[in-house]
Amino acid sequence: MNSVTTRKITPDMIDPTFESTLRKRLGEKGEKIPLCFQCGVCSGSCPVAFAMDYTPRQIMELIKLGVKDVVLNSSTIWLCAACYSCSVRCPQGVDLKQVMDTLKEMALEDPKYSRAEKAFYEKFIDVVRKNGRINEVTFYVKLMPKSAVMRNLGFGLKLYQKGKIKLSPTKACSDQVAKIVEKILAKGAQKR
Amino acid sequence: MIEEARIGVFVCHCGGNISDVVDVERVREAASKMPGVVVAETNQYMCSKAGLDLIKEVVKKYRLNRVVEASCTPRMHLTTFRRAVVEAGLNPYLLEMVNIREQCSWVHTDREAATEKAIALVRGAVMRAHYLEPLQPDYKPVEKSVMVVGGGVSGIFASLELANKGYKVYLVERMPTIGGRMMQLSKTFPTLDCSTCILAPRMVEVAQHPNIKIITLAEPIKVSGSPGNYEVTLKIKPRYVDVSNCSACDECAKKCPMKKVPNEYEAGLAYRTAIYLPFPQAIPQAYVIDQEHCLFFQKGTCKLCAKACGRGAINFEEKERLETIKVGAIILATGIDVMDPSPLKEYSYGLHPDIVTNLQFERLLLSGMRRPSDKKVPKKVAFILCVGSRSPERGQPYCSKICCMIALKQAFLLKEFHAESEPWIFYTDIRAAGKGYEEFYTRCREHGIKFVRGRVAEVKPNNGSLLLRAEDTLLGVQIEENFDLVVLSPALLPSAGTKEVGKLVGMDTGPDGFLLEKHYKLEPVDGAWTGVYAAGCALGPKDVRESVVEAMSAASRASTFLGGGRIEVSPEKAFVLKDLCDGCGVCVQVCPKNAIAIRGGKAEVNPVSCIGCGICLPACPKQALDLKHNTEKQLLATIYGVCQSNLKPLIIAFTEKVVGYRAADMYGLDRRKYPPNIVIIEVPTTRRVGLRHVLHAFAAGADGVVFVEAEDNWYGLSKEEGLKQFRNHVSQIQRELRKYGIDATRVMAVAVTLPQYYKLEIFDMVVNRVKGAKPITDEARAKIKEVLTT
Repeated sequence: MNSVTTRKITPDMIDPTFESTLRKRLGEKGEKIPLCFQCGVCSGSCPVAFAMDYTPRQIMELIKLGVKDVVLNSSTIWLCAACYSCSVRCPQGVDLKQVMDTLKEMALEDPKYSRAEKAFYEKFIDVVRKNGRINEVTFYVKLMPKSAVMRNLGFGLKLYQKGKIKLSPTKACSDQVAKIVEKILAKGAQKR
Repeated sequence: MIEEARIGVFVCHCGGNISDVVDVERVREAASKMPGVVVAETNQYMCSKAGLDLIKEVVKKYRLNRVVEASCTPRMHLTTFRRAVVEAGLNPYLLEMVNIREQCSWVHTDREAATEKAIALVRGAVMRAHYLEPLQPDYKPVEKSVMVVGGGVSGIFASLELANKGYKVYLVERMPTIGGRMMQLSKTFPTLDCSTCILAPRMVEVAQHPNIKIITLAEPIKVSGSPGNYEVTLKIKPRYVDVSNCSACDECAKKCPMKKVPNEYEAGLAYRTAIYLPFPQAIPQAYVIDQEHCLFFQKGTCKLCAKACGRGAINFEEKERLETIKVGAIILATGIDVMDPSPLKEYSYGLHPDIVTNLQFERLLLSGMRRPSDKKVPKKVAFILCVGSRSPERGQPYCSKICCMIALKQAFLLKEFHAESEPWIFYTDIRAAGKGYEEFYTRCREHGIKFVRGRVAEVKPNNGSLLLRAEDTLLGVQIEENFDLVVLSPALLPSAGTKEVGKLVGMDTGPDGFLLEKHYKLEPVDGAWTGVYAAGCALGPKDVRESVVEAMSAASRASTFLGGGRIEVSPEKAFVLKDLCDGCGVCVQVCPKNAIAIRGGKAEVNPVSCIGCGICLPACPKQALDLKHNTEKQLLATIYGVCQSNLKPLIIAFTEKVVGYRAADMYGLDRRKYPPNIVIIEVPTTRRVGLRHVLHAFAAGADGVVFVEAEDNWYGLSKEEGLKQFRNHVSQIQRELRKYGIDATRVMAVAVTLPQYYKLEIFDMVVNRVKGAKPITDEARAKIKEVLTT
């Protein structure tokens, strides 16, 4: 179990509009959020909950309390594997996977939240937008600090020699993929 | 008019419930100036002793011969006020009630408009009061017998209670024996009494009681007649064994070649033969042939049982038959079913023999506590609660109420059986509200039963044991644990056929599928029809104690109803004006109760069959039919009365009196709002209101009309047919209105049920629509008036 980082909630941590903002963004699906009665089926079903700082059920409770920063700084929203077990089994019909997606969007929009996982998502999509596919080397260099890149240089060389990685990215339908990415991002912006 | 009307109007404050919104004093003043009104009074609570004394005193002092009471809904206090006017020396039918609470102060907020509407309502009643006539109720003898449907613990106790009071009881059971679910249980919480030991003696008492006739393998399929005199048709399946001759010696079953029939009593965990005794204490003590599994009925040859029977009690020729019984009252105690948990795939029910339901676990407890797969004593047992309960999206939205206590009891008994065992209870919330229940919960904790707060996510067979995953929500950590046996607590459902049997006796089922009581709190075992009651799990999941309480309540209600030996029959019936009738017979066609016949060239109404629906009135081309207490004159007086109002626009809602009117009351009870432009006029059915009445409404100044009808109360017609006739009636009126320059959109219709009373939201739409339309010109109204007078 990862340690629960927050042991006390103080008034300054509560954003009373958080739940309603989230509900609005989720549209019809958001209506079910207040129905959560903390039974725990979601967290019991979750294949990655063991690695999360808060279980999905705890995220629901934090949402209802309006503890926005804790939610958007949690590892939970980034670790969600989108397997849908929680959404399928929830007795109250809360679509937790969609909730996690929306929380991710909200964390991405606000520079205040700066978890490493967030950069991962951002850099990943940068590479895909540019090349139409992922290239490990470019992605790694973009994501990691210089020192780490230097430290792993030898290992990278070995991989290269065995033909596991390519230094210069190959492109695949990059124009079309770029268009798709733009379209999705625009759609996301529209929702805001 | 019997004599010149001397009307007294009494306006109630209802301690602020009315007077906070309606200016009661202004209503009183306006009422005192209405024609025929001699005196108008107000009181804080008219229904209090002081208020009732005031009515009596004023009636005598001013020699009143009509009373108009403006207060709450007549469904609440009509009887109270009728009693008061009777004590004052008047006929009860000379009282008219105006509902200015549910239909005015509770649904409106604008004081000015609400007061104006209250005055309009009072004026309608005062005008009608002029034409009120004294009426005498009829009396009809009742059948002093009761049918109890369902032979479980509720049915047994209801039957005994009534039989001991001297009523003849027909106990109708679908299965071959009485006993029901309780006979399948091991012990009962929280006292841990042996279930069979406490119920079996009562079953014997039922069997031996001279006043009780047990009819097994039977279901009611038709109910006709009226309260106090119901006629029930039963469909009785053949038993193929003569009950009086069978000695339950078991010789037949020994010979039966069909040995692998799933045993219902053992919840499918054991087998029985095709000819069998359901369980040793079965009542009647007689074997029964399960036709579906009998070799003779399937293949045409066998009859080994008949050869084995030394008494010749087996008769393969027996046929399904119908039997009719006459009863005064009916009690439904149809009980409960356990949901099949297999659609909830995560629990793997049906995939592994050691995943069982709590009902099956009861049987395991009684048969030596061995798990089904290898007959070993299980050590670690998981009890999973809320399998399909409290799950609107994955089962039933409601709490099945007794599963927590069942799990506690079962875990406790397991621990008692085998001290080394480790029961774990996975719960969402432990609900142990009841006498001695919390104490039992405490005992369970003392006994070392483990409690994990978290709904189980999944159960998977795992190398001979069962792997269970859940979140311990109190820690926020996942928990994975292996168990030897898993017990599921599936949602409890109304027993199959509850809806159908309810329908036979006018009892609706709620959104949860259980029977709907007449009043949730104050008439908790009554059906919508008089003389129909329900008890036990048919009304919702409950334990033995509560079932018995309800059984006794239902029995008490039935005996109160039948006790007098006769019932009052409302005098509100149709009658024929012989001079006008030309014997055309249209009324005979439209009457839903076959209450009208043509004799000697004239229509004749049978007052016993007539239910006073008034459907025949607008149908008559000669206006030769009228309805007591809702005469043509009375209805028109009300219409003209309410229309002389400053409320503009004014919309009359003709509202059916049983469901429609109550729906409007519930709308008020809920404090929902609709515009004060809606004025409700109560009618027996909306089909009592014809084109002529609608025209009168427009001539009088109304700007729109709504018909509020019951969706499912069609006096014997099917719902579809009833609704079709209702819609035809309204659309015919709409069509005809065009000829008089009235737009069809000014007439609207809605059919409601009590649970869907919120459908009256249509009132807002109606008012908006009428407000948006071009006003009806005075010329148009004058023209209608002219047509009506010629």
